[in-house]
Amino acid sequence: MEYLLSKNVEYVCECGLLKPLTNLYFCRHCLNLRCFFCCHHEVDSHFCRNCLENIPSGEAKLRKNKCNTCFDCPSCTLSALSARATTIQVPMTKEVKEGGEGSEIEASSGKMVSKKMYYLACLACRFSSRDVGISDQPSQNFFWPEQEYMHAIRFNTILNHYYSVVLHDKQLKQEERRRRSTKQSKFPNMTDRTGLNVSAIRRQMGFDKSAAKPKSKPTAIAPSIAEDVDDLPEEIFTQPINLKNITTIQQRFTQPANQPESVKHLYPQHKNLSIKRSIRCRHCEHNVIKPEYNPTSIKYRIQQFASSHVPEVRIIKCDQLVPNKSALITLKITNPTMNDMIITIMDLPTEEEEKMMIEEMRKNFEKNLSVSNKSSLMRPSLIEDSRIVSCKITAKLELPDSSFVINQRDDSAEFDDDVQSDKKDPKFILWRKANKIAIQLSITPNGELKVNDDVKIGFSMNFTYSSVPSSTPEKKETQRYALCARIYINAGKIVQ
Amino acid sequence: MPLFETVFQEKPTIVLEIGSAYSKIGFSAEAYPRFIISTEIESIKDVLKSKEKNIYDQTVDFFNKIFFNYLLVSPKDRKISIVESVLTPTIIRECFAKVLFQHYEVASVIFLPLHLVSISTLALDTALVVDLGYKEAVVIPVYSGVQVINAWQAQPLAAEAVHDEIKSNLILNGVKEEILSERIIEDIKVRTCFVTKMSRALSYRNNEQLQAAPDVEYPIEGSDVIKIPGLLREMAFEALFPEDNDFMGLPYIIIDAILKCPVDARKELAENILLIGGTSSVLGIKVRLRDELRKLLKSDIYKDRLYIDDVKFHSAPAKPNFTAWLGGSIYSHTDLISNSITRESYFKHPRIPDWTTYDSSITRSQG
Amino acid sequence: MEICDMYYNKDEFVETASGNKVNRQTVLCGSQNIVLHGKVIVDKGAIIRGDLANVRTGRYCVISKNAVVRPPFKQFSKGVAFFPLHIGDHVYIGENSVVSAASIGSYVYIGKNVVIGRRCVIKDCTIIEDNSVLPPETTLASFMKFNNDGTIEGGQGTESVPAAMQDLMVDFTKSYYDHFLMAKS
Repeated sequence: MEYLLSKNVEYVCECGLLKPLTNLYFCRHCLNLRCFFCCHHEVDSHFCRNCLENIPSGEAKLRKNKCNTCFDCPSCTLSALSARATTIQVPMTKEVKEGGEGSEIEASSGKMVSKKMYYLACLACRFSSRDVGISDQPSQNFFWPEQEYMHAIRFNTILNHYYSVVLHDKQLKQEERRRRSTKQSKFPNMTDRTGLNVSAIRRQMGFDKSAAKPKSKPTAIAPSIAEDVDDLPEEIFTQPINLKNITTIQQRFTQPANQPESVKHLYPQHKNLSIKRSIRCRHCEHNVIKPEYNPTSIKYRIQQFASSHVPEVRIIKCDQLVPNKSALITLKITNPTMNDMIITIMDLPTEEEEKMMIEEMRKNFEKNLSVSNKSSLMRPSLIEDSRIVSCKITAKLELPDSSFVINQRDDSAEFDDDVQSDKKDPKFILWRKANKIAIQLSITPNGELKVNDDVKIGFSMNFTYSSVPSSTPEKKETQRYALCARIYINAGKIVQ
Repeated sequence: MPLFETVFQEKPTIVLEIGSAYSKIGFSAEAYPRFIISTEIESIKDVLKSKEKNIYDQTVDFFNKIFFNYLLVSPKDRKISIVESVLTPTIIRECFAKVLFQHYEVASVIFLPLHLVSISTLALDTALVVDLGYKEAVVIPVYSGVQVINAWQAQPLAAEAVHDEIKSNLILNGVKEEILSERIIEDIKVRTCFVTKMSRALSYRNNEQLQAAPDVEYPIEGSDVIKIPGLLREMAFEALFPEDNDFMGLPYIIIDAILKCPVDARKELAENILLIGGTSSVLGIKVRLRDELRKLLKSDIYKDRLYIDDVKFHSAPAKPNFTAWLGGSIYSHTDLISNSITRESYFKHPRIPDWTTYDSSITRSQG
Repeated sequence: MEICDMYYNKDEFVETASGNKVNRQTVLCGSQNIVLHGKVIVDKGAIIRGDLANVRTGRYCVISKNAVVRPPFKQFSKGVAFFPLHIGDHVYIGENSVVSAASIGSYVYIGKNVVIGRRCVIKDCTIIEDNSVLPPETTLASFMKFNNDGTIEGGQGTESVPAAMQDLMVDFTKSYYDHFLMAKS
């Protein structure tokens, strides 16, 4: 799994966090790396993890984000319940079917027929719906009885009461405000003094219906009565308890409403749904990742992974690391794009340069915001400032003295057996294969490091990137950009 | 009812109560929270201790989980209410607001005072609210819908104290410290311990020998089995009722809170006590508190200062862990939500108005 | 880390026409029912029970040492029946794992010492951590990761399973195959 989830080589995302390339995305419009932290997430679609059914969002909201058909085991809280069949013999017509996982024979009064009855069981912890007292149901997708919440009615009464109280208060305030701010006209007219003004006449005639509006009174409610408390039951001092019958906190929290203390009341709950998320770049509001709605499909509608735009660096091997002695490290760099790439490896920027870069980014963003129409939408957004990278390098890296070219990705090249050994490569390039290249650099760990300390090196990699414009059909040529990625590598531990 | 139609078409407010140990999350106008999950913000337990990740990042990760793994909603342009005690450190409150507005771009946030909203579940407006959580017990009286803040009392007499007591007791009995993780101690507390009667506690304190409750064999992860002595079962919660010269046990702080209130309010408060918080769901605590309070009221310390006959307790239509959340759900359903802090006003003044804020420009704009 | 060359002796392995490299010390029962689509590596000690039902593997799969691949059974009124087991392309099955799943999708990474219960359904682009045990009949949706304490986390758009899992597994299995070389004696 180290191949998939390795954290040895980490890239610096634009927000300043260090992430491996598998966790990074590339925004094609800003031409920058983005990560989970600095992007917006949005809920795309709901689906059930067990039955893999897509559920439209309106229905999901109605069902409180729970699946209709699947249940969670309340005892082990991890796996789902599955319906198991059993048959019982019921006195009826003449058909006789075979029994299944167990059969009960009832008193026969004539001919018997077997009916399939279903119960829910967990295959991981042997819980079954019969333990809680739910009787078997005749059909698999039938309506399993749900528990009612005992305080639901009282809660609704309280809710309506307070809603009406606040509404009533608000109306009173509005009335007062209206009464207080009667318009004072400069010229008092006759009708004001005599009390005969338009609104009075209208009211008399019956035109004005607003005055006759009944004010909402707060609904009456019986407040809670403080009762006397019950004493501790005496059996607690004499009877030993059986831990198997008392629920744990995790089991109680799967049913927040009732939180039963005894295992007999642990009803199976409907399974919670899962979501698919889409990720959107904060700066340019374009989507970076957008999966398909279908739960079984693994494709993406929009996919801009960093690994398909930014060259990937992997460690092939590294010599033993001893402080103050130079060791050789071999890195493999892959070019994932369809164009040749020129790569230059340079030093990391210093702290002041980093701070200047962050300032520049902020200024650029504010300029874009004022230029675009976004500000007219009254959406002020404080973009979080990028941070300074928190990793400290602990070894000195000898930079290669020249840039080098990596060939484009060519999917048909795997069938070619020829190895192109053309122009003279600089000494640090070990081998080339299609769009991969291996370079060897020497690193010298710092003297202060002790045994088992991590040796970290870092460099900036400048590479040329050609973007393929998608939406503008006129611009057929590809634009070439020079982009930079900062990379931190954990070369290994010091060995004495 | 035409008044209610618009409410149903709008997206419901998200109501969160983020405690030190557990968070209750759900939507407004619902009778119980959708989920009760453990709070994964380490810094909330001890704000001053610095951890690997700073509190901002921890909060971002935790809210990410809340919105996308549990509630399954996009937080953008939604209203959020957070129910929290007025004694929450300002760092935490400001951090929540910053994360919600800056990172998640919510429409508005309102911070509801925990003790005040809890009594709405009883349809009363006067009660003495005692919140027994994980870190501390906070007592704040509410009279006629206003929190009597100068009468606040807070002591670290809550789940954490009980856990420490259980842990030290078990280690003394020979159990290895490594197997006693926080989760296991909490499980022991919830499943085996209870609050014993006042008379028995007195006898134990006087070192009399009594027939204790039966011992329990507690299996750990399928390997060890440790014995929970019956004495520990009864005495674990005595951490909440210390008898020493500080006079700061749970019954003492309740009476002190009543004493700090004006004279005419005291009787009504004493007859309307509401216990909330997870620790108050333990068996036997209401009886014990009633007995202790009655004894204290007759004792020399308070006999001449307080003229109250009896104490009475309420029970809310909810489990004690989420009673405060329920109050938040009720409040969020009403129109008071329009008094919340919107994004625009937050960016003009990036500070949350607090009961200690004297900046009149902020407080006036909220009215 | 990049995969290093792994060498094997010429007489240990059999290489078929479609590029499958099968170790001689494996137990392949019912080999006429086993279909390995191409460039599949079956390492030493692996057991594939083709005698119970059909076993079909996609291209570029890797079945590591001592793994057991066994089709699941279903109990019926008239006895037991075994169901065919389909494994997709680019799947890596770790050492000592026991796989009784009903179906495994493509681009799946299964760690070592994993026990997959009977009739599990494992969809594409999933990761099963080392030493985990899947209870029978669990469904693991795409882009989910099964941890060894039994919880399932992830989803398309989260970080538990990398978003580019498909490309990663293709890369991984292809380079595993390319580095699995015969020792030149």
